Amino acid sequence: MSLQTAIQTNHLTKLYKKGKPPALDGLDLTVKQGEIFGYLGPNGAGKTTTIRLLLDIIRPNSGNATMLGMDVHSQSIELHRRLGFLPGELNLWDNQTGQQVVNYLGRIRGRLDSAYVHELAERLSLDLSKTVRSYSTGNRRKLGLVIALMHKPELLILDEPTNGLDPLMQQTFHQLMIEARDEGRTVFLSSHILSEVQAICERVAILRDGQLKAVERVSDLMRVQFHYVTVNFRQPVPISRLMSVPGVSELSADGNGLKFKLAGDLDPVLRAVNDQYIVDMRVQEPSLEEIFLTFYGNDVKTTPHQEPVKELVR
Amino acid sequence: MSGSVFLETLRRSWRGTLYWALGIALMGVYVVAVIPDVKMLKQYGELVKTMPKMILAAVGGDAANLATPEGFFGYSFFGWIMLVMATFGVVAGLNITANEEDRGIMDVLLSLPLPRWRIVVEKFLAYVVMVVFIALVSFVSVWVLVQNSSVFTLSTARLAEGMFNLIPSTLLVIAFTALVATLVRRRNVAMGIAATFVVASYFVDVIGRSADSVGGLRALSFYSYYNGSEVLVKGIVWGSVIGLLIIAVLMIGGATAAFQRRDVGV
Repeated sequence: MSLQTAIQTNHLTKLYKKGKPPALDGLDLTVKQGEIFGYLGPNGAGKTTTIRLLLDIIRPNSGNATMLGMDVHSQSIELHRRLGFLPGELNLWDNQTGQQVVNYLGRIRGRLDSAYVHELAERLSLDLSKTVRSYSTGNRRKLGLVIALMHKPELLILDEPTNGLDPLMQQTFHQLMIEARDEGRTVFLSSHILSEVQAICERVAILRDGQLKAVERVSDLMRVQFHYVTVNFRQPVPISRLMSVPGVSELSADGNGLKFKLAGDLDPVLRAVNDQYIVDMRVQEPSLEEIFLTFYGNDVKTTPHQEPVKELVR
Repeated sequence: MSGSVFLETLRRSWRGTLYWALGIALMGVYVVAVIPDVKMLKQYGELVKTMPKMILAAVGGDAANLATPEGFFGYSFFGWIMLVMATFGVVAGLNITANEEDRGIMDVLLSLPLPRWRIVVEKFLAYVVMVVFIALVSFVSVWVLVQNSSVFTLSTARLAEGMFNLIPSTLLVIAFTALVATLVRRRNVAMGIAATFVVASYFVDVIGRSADSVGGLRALSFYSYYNGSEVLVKGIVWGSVIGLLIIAVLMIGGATAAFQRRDVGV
């Protein structure tokens, strides 16, 4: 086990009911210390199951996992001192105030940095004197973030952390995560909000039907794949002019313009219409979401390890 | 920090426990206050001799004892207050793991440096304190009234024994409910099983008392070891107390082991 590894899973498998497909199927995943790692997948893909296995809330049918070099089951108490957790659905004691909840959980941890708690609450615009019952969904998430962050853990495990947060608070959250990373801490966050992952994560894993489909650097994902191109001509051009150009798909005409998806170089497109007067041309980068959708639209089976994304999207 | 769950459980429950204690104490006070005089008690004793055995057995009554203050108080208070205490026991037992697991709060607790056994054991210990508190408040309330009653006398030691006698059975119900909750995982199912256990135990005891042919069934009911209606007359049965406490501890041990091993919130 390298000291540089924050999370390591080995063939981690979880089957809730016999005869049903596993919720998590042989997960092999490595998260390095000091990175913000995105864990992507649609609902039911196995993200929350992975997190609950890592926290020893549920136990695997096979395989094992370590975090910060410690076994997640046999060394869970020592490990939990060093990590912070925000569940996807945060339920707390409705009749307690935010401050009472923080105090209780802080006492269990054995220490409570009140000044830091109040700093976090202030940054997140959270009033800790109100009861949990009176909190909106967004305020509950904020309280969850305070609980996860208040002891400055080495490893943060966050399940859908910005669900219910307004855009301003999402920015604050992103800032908090970047600060945590800059301090050498690790953030493992599950999400189906790709713009969030795109904004703060260095690497992402993509999970589908309990299987890891890909792990890739976000920057690499953004560099590969395809573009959306719109070319406006002085006069209408039939779409047949571009139909046979390699890499062109989703071709459509719009007035004097042609729109298409291009997976490849632009030069063959320009050569195909070199007798036409081009008024304007726009090349748009796809969002990670579009890459993601393309990825999911592909039924190619891959070995769950590094580097398959480029092959899949092309 | 060790003891944090214990202290938090007490902090959150003290008000509710106080209401339970005052409610039960008021019932005891009411029984003492409505007893008119010893002469009337004797008349009452004669009257109940004519009652069917089944009805007397329902509250553990004994016609001969009912003519005495001890017998009447045992019949009117200890005979059925155990049902109230058992209700408290079911509520408390569900609070050990079932409520937090059912509401999804347990995920947060289990992400902390907190061994699962501490959740079960510390909460159970907090409820031990609460049950003792309820018994104590009930004892003090009834004792004060008895001291100021011109017609009603009760031995202080026997009254203390009677109140103490509530504790083992209540702890047994708490432990049973906690054990069932950790085994079946569903709060409502656990509540149903625990309620059935309490009611079935009560009726098994009643039937065993009223019909000699099935008297052996009483051994299956914790009510027969509680035997509250006779504690003021005959004194506490320490063997039963110790037996009930041992079973309660074993059940909490079982609940701890089950909770330690299984998936939570599934």
